[in-house]
Amino acid sequence: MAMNVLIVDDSAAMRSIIAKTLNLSGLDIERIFQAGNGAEALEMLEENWVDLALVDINMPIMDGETLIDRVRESADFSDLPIIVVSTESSETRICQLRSKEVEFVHKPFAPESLREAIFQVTGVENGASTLSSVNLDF
Amino acid sequence: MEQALYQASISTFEDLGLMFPIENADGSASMDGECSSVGVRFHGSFSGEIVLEVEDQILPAIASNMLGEDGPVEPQMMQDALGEMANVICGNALPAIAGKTEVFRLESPVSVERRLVAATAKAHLLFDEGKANVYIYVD
Repeated sequence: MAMNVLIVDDSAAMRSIIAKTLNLSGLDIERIFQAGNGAEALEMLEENWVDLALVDINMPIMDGETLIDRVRESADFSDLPIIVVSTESSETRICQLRSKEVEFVHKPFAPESLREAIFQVTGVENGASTLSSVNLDF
Repeated sequence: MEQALYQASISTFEDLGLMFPIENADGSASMDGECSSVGVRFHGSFSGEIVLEVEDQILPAIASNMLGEDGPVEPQMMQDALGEMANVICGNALPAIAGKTEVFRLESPVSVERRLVAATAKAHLLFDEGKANVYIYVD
């Protein structure tokens, strides 16, 4: 089943990197939505079906942790699979985030680590055997 | 602190920018031509700012490598790529300096002017494409 993926990051460059990684991953991606902060992401979640969200933590207006809390409290998409893609390196903070039922990928990330996290939160593995053989130019 | 900053800077340029530093024989921080600088403010057990300064001539290489683009990258996207580079350096340097259990909050990268005060620590990197300096200023 093709997935709709939401990328939430205040950096357009990082959104582009993640989108390119997804497109080269071999995963069956239907559509990629992009949001620059948590508030934009919530609006998109209200208006579109999303199967997976990749979320940065440090963002203006609404940060990623607040977004995750709002999603988990939501009646409509509380079980949305979420992967945090962040520079966060504090073990204390990562442990706090994992308690919100999210996977964590550290920036800069290898494509394989993103694929593995997607499998962990969605159970979708198609394309997993091809990603490691794709030469990503970043 | 200087070693942690240097290691975080090198690994970020290598992993994110696919740029590998060459020996900077004189360790010089002097820049040739126009430069761009972005700063990331951080708050935690100590607060301050990490500033990444690069010669403009290496901006296209940073952005193209990060984005996997063969053609030219728009100026705004180049600045955004530079900001993300600074963000990742900051995120990796702070736990190396303060320990992995310390929690820091990072602000979004912003363009900054060159500071006149001395940095708390600095790292100078030389690439085939040009130079980069990374500074940490502790409040």
